[in-house]
Amino acid sequence: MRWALLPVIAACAAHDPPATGSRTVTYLTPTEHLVRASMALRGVRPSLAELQAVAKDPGQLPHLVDTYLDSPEFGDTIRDLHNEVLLLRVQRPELTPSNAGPLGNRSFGEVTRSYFDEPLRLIEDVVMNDRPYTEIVTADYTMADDIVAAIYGMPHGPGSDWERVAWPDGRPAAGILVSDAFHARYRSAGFNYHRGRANAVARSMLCHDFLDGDVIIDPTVNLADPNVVANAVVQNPSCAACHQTLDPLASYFFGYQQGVLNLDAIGGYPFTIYDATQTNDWFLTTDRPPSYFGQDAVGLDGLGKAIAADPRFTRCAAIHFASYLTEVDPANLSPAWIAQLQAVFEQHHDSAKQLARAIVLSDPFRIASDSDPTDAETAVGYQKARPAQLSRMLYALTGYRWLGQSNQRVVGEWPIGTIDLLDDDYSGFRVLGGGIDSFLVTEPVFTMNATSSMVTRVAAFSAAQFVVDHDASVPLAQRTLLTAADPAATDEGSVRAELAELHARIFGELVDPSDPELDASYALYQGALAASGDARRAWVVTLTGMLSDLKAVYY
Amino acid sequence: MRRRELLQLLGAAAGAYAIAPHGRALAQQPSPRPPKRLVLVFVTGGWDAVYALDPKDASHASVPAGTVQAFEGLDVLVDPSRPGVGAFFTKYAGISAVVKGICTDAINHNECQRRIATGTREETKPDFGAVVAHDLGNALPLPYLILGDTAWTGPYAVSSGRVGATNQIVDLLDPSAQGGTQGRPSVLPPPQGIGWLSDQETALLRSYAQASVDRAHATRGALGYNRARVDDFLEAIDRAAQLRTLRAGFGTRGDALAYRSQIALALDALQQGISHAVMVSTGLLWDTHSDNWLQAGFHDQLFAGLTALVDGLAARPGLATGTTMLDDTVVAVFSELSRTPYLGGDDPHAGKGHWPVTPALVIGAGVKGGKTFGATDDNSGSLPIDLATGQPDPSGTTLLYSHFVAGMLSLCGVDPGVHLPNVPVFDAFAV
Repeated sequence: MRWALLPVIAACAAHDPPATGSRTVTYLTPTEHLVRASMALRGVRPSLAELQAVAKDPGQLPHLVDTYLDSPEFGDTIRDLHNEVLLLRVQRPELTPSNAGPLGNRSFGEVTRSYFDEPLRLIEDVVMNDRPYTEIVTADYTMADDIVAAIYGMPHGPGSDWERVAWPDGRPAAGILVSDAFHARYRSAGFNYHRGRANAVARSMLCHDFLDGDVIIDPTVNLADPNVVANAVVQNPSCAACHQTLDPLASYFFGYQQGVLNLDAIGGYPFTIYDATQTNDWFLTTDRPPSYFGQDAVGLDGLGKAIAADPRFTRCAAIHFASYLTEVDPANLSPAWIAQLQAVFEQHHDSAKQLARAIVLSDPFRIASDSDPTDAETAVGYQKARPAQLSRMLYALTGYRWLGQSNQRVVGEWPIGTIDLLDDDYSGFRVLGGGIDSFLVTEPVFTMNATSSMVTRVAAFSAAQFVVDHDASVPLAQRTLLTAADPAATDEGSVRAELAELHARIFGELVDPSDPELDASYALYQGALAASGDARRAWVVTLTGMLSDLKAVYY
Repeated sequence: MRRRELLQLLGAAAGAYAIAPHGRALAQQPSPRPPKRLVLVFVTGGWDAVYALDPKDASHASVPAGTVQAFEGLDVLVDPSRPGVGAFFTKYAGISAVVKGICTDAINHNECQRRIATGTREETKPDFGAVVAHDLGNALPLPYLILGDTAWTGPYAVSSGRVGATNQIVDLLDPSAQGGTQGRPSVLPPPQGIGWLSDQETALLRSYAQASVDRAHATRGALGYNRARVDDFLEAIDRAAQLRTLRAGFGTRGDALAYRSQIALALDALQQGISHAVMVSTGLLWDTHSDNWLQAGFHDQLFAGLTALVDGLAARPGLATGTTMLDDTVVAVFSELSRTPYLGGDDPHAGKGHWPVTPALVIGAGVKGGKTFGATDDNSGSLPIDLATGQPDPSGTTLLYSHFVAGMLSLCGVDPGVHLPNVPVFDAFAV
């Protein structure tokens, strides 16, 4: 029961020398640890009450983590985490279901997000309901909002909420493995015969990438001739080494349309790229019966069960969760730590919540710095808020979402409509802010550059404007962020009292109003007040600085 | 001395003593060449080399209509149906080198793109545009400008920046202009009558950030990874401030930047001192598993654009008095893959698969123009070459992506041993 000890270890060991590993590492304080756990799991800063509770009793931290794991924001994180693995959230016109029929009035962003989020919503549903994580490849249902339901002809209640729903064509129970969106994202060219899809499954769910090795091509093999290729992948040793396992895996996916899908030209709904009658077409092409790394597994549901039973599946999940939550490249994660996490994961019946819990309460997660110059090069002591986290953080602190609206149409078809500027690539700033577009930019950037700095600064300014206007116009009880003093008051006592609370809310620092740690923020306020002579403007400038500060964008 | 400069020096020292895997000392690294600016034209998707740069006989490949024409020392397939190809070489063969037979040793796009751009198989390594920009132009506001779709910045992310699918960067450069003008989303809710930050307020925020960085340096951000993140934070603010002064060079907000628009912006960014290296993408769907005939039009557009690019370089003033940008700028045109020799599928939609041997075209300053380096056999396989001369040599070396990238770094004036230690440098195409 190693996991049961973790909270105690974490609570007692914070700021203490580590029992093992580097002797020069310094760990986060309990409140700093809380901030990192809250941001990593939710993209939201902890509340003042939570900070005070942990400052008073570090043993409260694991209990707060449990509440974070049950929050809707953790569901957002689960989808974001799996999108970084599966690379589903693409915004490309040719991969966007057309605006025919029931989608006639829907925007580009709405359609792309709903269509490609369907498998991510299924994963979120499994995780948030604390069911075995293996169900992501064995579930007999998926999730649909009104757009997804319209595309596939699924029943859906009033409104646009995501609901559990069965595939109307009775396709096998295999979770995301049977998702149209997955197979639309990983299209298979005519003579590829689903090998790309098979490798996407192996890479993302088993951490087994067939493409990791060099491919030395025999130039006498005409790769454009399917008959020659079919022979080479069996007879040619340099080809057969991979293809003897890759091709049988690919044979599971013949039910999904190959080649150009022309989603943007769909004439009407319901529409699917799945056709059960083509399931056995491997017989007409590669002549490789479906098989899972040499095991007999029948059908896509059999494939899902085989993956779920494969120890590589839980190990791979541990790698993905650990990498996302620590911002450490998978190749640099400690194999021993991953093995520990995998054990915790399996002991808890593949509970992804318990896996995430074990990660954020572990020593590797709470590294602050390393005083050894060599070890310091690889000690990740600052994590950077991804654009989605920045969006949630600003919303939680200020009530502001950085939205944009346009009546323009994408390639003359779908209206751009209203978009979250931190969660959109076509018109927004997700990639410029350091995020991914899941197609051309597939890895987030964990440091600041010129464009991410501008994105952060403009978003912070907009949020600051919004919250100052709001808080200056409502009674104290209704204010969002400026809750310690009257925003119009400019005396040092009032301003420093407000700054002390802002340092707690935004930076996670519990400091007294007279603490020198506030001096820089107070100087900023004073300077801004002197520049404009306007107290509200001074708060806008001060909050812009704080919301885009090092201690806000890093955690 | 900054941390990464120290690491580079350490890397250089290590490279100087590098021993080849087989125990043979590597060739002496060449003396650094004069620094050059760089435009990378990345033909993502996989061009069909037989359409222009590596013509083959119809008895060994499915080839398009055309005739092989000699342009100075370059044999290129041309045809009236794709006039852009012939027009380019008629004008610029003398400053262009063709490199044939580069092996990527992989057949999927992402892997090959990474290899041909970074010279490595590692996802965390920067591409040669990022390296050249960082090493030679790091004082510029945005050393590496990524206009195309595919680039790797690795540890030089702070020196790099994208403009966005619809040139969104202009909204960031001029936040006060946000508000629903044509083609751009307006911010909701609209600004409450409060203008964007004044210069005085911006200076206050810069001081605030500096104070925050100073505190971090004294605590958690003193060393290593943390120090780099802290330094990047302030450096990014300063680069952003510099960029805002150059707003005019970034054009207008609109649809995805077309190839020719990227070229215009690349020329402006280099000329105005915004960037040292620029990544451009054609934006064309080169991955012709079906309808391989589309390669004809794509080649025409590619080379017409290259003519416009080199025309622009030749028409604009260079860094030294009395020179043009063409005297200090290199253009590298490359694709991650070529296409299989033979067509597959049925006409008229017959296509070609991926082929892991691809050519490249290097143009401009310091290039041995009018010459071909590397070679392929009749079956489009790569022939071993003498890396020093680039000519076929049965006892020579198979030309790899890493050799080519090391050569590009050398051509541009960067010591390849620092970034690609132990990699033989193939720079026969450089003067």
